[in-house]
Amino acid sequence: MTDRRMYTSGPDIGQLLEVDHLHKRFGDTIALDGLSVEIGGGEIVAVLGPSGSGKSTLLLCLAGILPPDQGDVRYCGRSFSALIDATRTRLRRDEFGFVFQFGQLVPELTAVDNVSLPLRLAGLRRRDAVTRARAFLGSLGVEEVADKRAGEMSGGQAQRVAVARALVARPRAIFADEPTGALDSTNGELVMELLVSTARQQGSTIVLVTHEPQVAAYADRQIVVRDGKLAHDVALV
Amino acid sequence: MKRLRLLGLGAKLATAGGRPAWIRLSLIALGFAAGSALLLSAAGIVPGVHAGDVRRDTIEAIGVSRHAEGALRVWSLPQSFGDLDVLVSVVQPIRTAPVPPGLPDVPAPGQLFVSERLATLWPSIGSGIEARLDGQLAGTIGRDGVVSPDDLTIWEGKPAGAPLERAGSYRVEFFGSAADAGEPLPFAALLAVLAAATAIVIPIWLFVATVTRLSAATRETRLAAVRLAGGTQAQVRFLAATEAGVAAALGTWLGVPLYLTLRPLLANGAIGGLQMYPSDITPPFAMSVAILLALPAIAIAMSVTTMRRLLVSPLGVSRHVRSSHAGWRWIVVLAVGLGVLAWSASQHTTLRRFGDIWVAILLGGSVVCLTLGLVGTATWCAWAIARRLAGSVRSVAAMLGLRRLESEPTAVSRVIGGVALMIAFVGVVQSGLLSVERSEGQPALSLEGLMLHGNEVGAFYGDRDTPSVNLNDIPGVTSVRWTHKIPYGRTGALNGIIGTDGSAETLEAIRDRLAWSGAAIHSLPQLEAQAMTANDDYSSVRQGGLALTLFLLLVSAATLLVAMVDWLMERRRSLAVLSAVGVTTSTIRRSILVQVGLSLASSLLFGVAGAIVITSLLYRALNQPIVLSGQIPILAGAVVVVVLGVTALSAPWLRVAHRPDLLREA
Repeated sequence: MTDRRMYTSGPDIGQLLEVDHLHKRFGDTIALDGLSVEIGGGEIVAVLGPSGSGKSTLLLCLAGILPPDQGDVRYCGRSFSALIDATRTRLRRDEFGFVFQFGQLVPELTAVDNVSLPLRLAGLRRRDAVTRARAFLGSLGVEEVADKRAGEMSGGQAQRVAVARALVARPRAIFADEPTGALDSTNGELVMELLVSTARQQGSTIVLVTHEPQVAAYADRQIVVRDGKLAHDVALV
Repeated sequence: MKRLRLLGLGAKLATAGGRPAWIRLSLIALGFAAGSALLLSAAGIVPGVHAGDVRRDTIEAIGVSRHAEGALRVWSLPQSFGDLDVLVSVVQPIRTAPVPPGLPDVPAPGQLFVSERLATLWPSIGSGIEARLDGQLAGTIGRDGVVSPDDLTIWEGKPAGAPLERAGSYRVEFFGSAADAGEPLPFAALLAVLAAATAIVIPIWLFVATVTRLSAATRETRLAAVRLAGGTQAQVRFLAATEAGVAAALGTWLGVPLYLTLRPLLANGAIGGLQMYPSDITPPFAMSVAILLALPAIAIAMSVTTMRRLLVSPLGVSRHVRSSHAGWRWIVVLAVGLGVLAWSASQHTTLRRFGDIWVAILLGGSVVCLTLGLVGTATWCAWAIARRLAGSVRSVAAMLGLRRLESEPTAVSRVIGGVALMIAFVGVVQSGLLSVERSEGQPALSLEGLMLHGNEVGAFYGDRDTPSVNLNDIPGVTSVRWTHKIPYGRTGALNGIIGTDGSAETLEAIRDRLAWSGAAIHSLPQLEAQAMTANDDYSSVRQGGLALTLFLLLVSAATLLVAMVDWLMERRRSLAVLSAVGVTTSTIRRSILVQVGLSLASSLLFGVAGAIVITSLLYRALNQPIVLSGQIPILAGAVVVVVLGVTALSAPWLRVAHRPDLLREA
């Protein structure tokens, strides 16, 4: 596979994501209120906070999915607002991975189709993409569901397939929104172990939104958001 | 009481949910309204035709009785005024004569009673008629005395000076009555028309089935909420059935005013040029009630069937999904239909021995099996190809499209599959009409027309005696020839061939002079026009069929658009995820084209092949010439344009649904 990444070429790039005085409101509700934060390459950052504090909005802004009303989000020093939609789409495809709480697998695709999708979108040949996807599913312990669809898997299996899809293209940054929210504690731990260990092996940054302390414990750093503002920013050793 | 309360709750749920719920309800009602209006109209056609037949029997069921106290002497005189042929019945009472149907009394000498159609034309041609028949307009013939609204008839009391011989008349001692006239309503024909109408209603049914599924996820969430609030599975099913029934009943009953609006159009020659009174196009009461009750009942039954496949729990809805697509059943249905039809075609010379009813059942049943099998097999074939290719295609768009087709043979595929049925159905009907035309030959002049040349006018007496009337002194008449010769070297009654200057005045002057002779007076152009009109009957039926096809195509297009838009809106989350992982809108667009294109190709292939096979075998079985309608490829082309056009029309909704920021909402 040719490396089609636009901004990064090595693991040590200093600040990967920079957020500067971010404001976002939905109607009368203020989701982000002048929040600023920097995230370095290879960091695993947990974003914590009560419901409605603006955690998920921050995640979507960081991933270039949601445009802020004011302020700026920079990826490798380049502002998202300077990018056209097609470039942002390519950036998400080539450099980001996503894991959500539920409903993230394309239901009509099999697990191996879902996992090979980012590779095929990046231009890898079908056979190579499928081989790599199967290997990845095997390494996450879900090779038995490779040819099944989302509706035919358990919640834990579906979430591990989603982790595989997020990591298979060796993204620079992974955005995870409550990745264990719909799982029991055993499956939740398993998914987090796989997500964090694989990301560390690959040198990927993880931005993890959660309200569970045991999930946040996997992070190198914890950011607490309250009323759309940064309340705490603590590095864990 | 509990059920009543649930019924009320179901009705409330049907309208709860804001604008989307009202749109859904309106579209369902619209579909049912169109369906019930079409079925009521179809069920009214046979009674409409039958009502005319009953009146004809009443008028023509004349008789002679030994015990009659009086009689009516009648002279039937065919007359023409310009291009109009009018049947004039001149009457003379003998003692207490029977009154002709539709008249208040036996016309007094010189009194003219004219049909409704003639009365509307009276201001322009009335004075000419009065002058020729030596009479005065006295009234209009009631509906009992005419067969259809376009009848041109006159009853006239014999004027004192009319030179009518008793020999040219007949005696009527009583007229028939509606009670003893004609055959009973032909229920077999009624059911046949209704069955054909049911096939026509299929695209509308697909529309209803599609809009019924609108906002399915939202409604299922609501049903889960009812379960969470303590509702049982049975109560939830009852609620869903009530919801379906309310919309269907509303639409079905709205179909009644729509049917009443359609009725004058149908009466005015829309059915093969037949003229009927709108009020005659009325289905039997029991059948009307059956239609108005059956449609909501079917909607409720379908809802119950659908709900049986759903397990509504307080946490959500899960489906019992068949693990494999049971397409082989349709192949069996198709094979049975094809086998029976092929056997019938091979036995076409001996088939009639079975009797008409059995032949109709055999051929009708095999055609129904074939057409239903076509739709099912076309859909299954698209699914099977998608299943085979999905895992091996290189393009991501193709993979997405094929996987979608494989995993959900949804409303989109069903609608496109329905197209196959429509092409086959229209192809067979249109080819059938061409076949009948071919077997009846090209429009041909009548024997009378073959006797005339150029400006000649014919006075055709039939079996009447030819009176000695001098025509030579009429201005414009150039020659008068009397002959027994008729075409093809044969001889017949004496007819007059009158050479003229070709002017309308001369023609009318001849008609005036021969008014009491009983002869039909025609010019060559008039006879040629009559021959063309007779042949136009089939082309008008074909044009009517084409108009109906276009209507059904539009219904199918609307269904497809609704199905696609609903699919896009319901799959917002999935599309948002695809967008988030970097799948572009153009990739999704191409994937939809692959999905639609494969279904379309399969449907067109089976539809066109079905039309050709059914036409060839069916008309061979019926011993009719096989003529394939040129409309089959035109219709196939129109279907391609419509389906691709609808796919393009759904593009704005795709742009709305395929946005990563919807992850926050969806």
